[in-house]
Amino acid sequence: MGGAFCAVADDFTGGYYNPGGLLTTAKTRVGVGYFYSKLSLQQNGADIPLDRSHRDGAILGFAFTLPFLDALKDKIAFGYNLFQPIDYVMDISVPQPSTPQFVLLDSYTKANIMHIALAVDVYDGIAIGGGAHFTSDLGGSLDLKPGIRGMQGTNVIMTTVDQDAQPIIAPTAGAMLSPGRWYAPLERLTIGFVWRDRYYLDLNIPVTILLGSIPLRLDFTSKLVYTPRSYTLGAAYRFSEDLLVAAEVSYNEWSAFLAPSLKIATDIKIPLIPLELLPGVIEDPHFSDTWTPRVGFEYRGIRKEAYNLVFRGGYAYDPSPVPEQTGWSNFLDGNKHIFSTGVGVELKRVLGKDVSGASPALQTVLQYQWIQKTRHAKAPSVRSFNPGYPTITGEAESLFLGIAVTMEYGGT
Amino acid sequence: MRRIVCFGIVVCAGIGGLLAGFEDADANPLDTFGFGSRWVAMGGAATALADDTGAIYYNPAGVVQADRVHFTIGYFYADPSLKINNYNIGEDRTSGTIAGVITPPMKFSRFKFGGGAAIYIPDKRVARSLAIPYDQPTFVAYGARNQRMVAQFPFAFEIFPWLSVGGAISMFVKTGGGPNFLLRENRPGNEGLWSEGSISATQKGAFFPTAGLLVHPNKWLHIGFCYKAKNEILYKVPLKVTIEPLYVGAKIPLIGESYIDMDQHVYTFFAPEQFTFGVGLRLGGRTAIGADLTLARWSGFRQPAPEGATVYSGGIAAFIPPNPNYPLPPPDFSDIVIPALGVEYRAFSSSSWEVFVRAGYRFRPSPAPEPTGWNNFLDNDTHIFSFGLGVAMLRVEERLRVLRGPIVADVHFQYFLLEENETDKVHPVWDAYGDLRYGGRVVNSGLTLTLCF
Repeated sequence: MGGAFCAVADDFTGGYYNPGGLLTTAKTRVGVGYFYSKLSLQQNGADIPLDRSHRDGAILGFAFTLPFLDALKDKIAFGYNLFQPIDYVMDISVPQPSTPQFVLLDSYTKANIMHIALAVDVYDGIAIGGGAHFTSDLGGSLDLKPGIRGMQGTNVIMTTVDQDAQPIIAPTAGAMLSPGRWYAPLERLTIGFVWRDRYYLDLNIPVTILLGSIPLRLDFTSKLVYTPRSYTLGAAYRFSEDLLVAAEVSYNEWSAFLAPSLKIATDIKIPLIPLELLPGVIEDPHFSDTWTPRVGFEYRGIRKEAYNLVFRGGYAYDPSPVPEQTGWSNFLDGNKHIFSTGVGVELKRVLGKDVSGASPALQTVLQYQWIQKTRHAKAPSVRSFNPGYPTITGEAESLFLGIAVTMEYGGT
Repeated sequence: MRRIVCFGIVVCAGIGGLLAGFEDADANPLDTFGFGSRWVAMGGAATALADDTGAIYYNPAGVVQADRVHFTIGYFYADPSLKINNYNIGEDRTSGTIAGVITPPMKFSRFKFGGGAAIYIPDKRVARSLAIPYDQPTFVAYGARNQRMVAQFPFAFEIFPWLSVGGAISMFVKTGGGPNFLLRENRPGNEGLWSEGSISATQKGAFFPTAGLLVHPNKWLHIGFCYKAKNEILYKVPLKVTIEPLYVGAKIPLIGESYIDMDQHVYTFFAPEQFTFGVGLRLGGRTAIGADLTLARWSGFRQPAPEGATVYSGGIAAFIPPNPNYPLPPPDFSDIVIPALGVEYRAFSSSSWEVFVRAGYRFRPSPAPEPTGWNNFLDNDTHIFSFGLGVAMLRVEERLRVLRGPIVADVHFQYFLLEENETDKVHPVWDAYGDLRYGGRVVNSGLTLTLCF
């Protein structure tokens, strides 16, 4: 549905798209799926080689109302979602700042994401929810002193590795309104609002290398997998039992973007020798805030005794926050057009048995992302060996395939 | 096929709750301090008895014994006071929140299936991986080894009313890859340039299984068995530095382009393979007695200090001697057998309240050899005494209306007494630390609250 789901959020992913949507239904919702995505990036018309041109992973989640009784029955719900790449938990690749790169697109799917959410029905027709993304950063130090200490006649390297992982918790909040509860003509309308705080992984590792008796100190920091703070407002209208249309718009605070390039502080002191090493600095990326509109529909087009077929489609336009790259860096991300379509098979009978109570379904999705071509001209102050000198172009596309098995059961 | 297996493992690791997709330090804090005040108070002798969220850690086969949703949340605080040569080394405390949930069993024909999740979240950090030089004295059972998050995701089947089997998966993260640096000198001609760096690293999941078996020959006798696989992660820290030609004030480069290639690695996150056999007795509805015997295979413990080589090439190689890798000798730890005994007695009972008192004892012999040589991996024979109280509120549905109940609050107190050891070094003059006297105590207390829906 093009991601236009904040005012729908009625399946196992509801806690992620809108924590307030967890109470859309009292049924327990469970889903597990697999996705595959492939990236194709180009610089000056030539392919950019990637360590991982394709990525795949598992998506799973559940949502259910807590089994309270009486006044709290179906009033509090919990949701959990996990996005887990198959081959890794986190894949960090930070090129040198001047290396041409699609800094936003290439960050995608590089780390696992865990999201939990809780929703409360605060008033008839109004549910609010809160949640959080959980991940961890890396800190600590690598005290890589190739110190030589005599041991049983041999010299042995003595090293201390002290790595500290701190939790990163990025909060989300959402609300789901059903105005039909107060004004009957609007009973087919739902309105959703979601706020997501920004998050990024904070890499901060000091390294000490002992060159003979001379310490070389390298402190490097990086902000990885930056995701901006965003505000999303959406509406969904169910024209009939079979047709649902949704639209939303997000405001993304990309202006606070922190470039992932390594910031390096160097320190080496050699007696009587005037050696000074240059630090590694990061230019302010000067990204801009963006608005992202999304639209989508869901149509239960075929109803049979044993199954239903549901067709979905959507579109989103994600403008690039990246300014023209006139300086040292070469961030090539352009405006993004996202087209998506999918089919769901809702099973009602399997091998002659009625399974409608568990509502098993198979969902599929195909998404194509087209990143428009960008062209950047360097300022005269940029040295000629910058890979973007004097001009550079970038273009990209991405294909995403997914499949999921879902179930809904219980509830009222 | 491998990808299908990987996908299955990833899915299993996530089902039931929170992912342990976080880094870990040496070994498992739950092995040291236990999970849930009820079972900690009983000395951890829970392999045959645990039928609540404690079963997730002690024996996953017990998960299917719960007849409704259990949710447990708690906190514990363990404060070590460890001394070397009468000096308190200021070892880090271990404290954090525990939580667990068990789903009600689902029935398929005559089989029952249950699942859940348990998690321990430390106060200070997700994980700390601290590897220190080989000869620096360290208590291998404490310190950084307990500074990490732990999560387990169990599942269990009741095959017959008297036989259940279960398993659990925990996931750690192993890291590979590191940074590359290109360093430039601050000199005339380098205006507008900076030093640059890149990093390429991948964290991959490492999965460690637990399996359990539970037999109930009759109502009062319970027999349990639990297997926990060895945990160990190889942590690699490669680092490459390129230094452009250095002029150091001259008009021509005095030192040509130089390269430093460091490759450090360390085995960390070790927890021994464990086989636990347990017997539980429920006598007259008032008393429960548990006894466990655990074989912990510490002989698989590899020396935890970093090892590696550093290669210098190019200009600076003429000034700095090479640092080849000399393999460090193994620590020669031994397998140990850990007995544990626990008792629970229902001291008070009415239609609305029940009060339980609990006590337990566990003896953990040291797997470490006497450190007479160059390494200083320290451990002591340890007596662990524990006791606790539990209060259960019954008829909750009548009182609070919103919950079926019962609601149970448990507290525990645990005292570790490390027998003092005295070691005379073979080479006391050459040794950086000399003869050692070491021992101490650890005090752990905590509470848990369990809601039954």
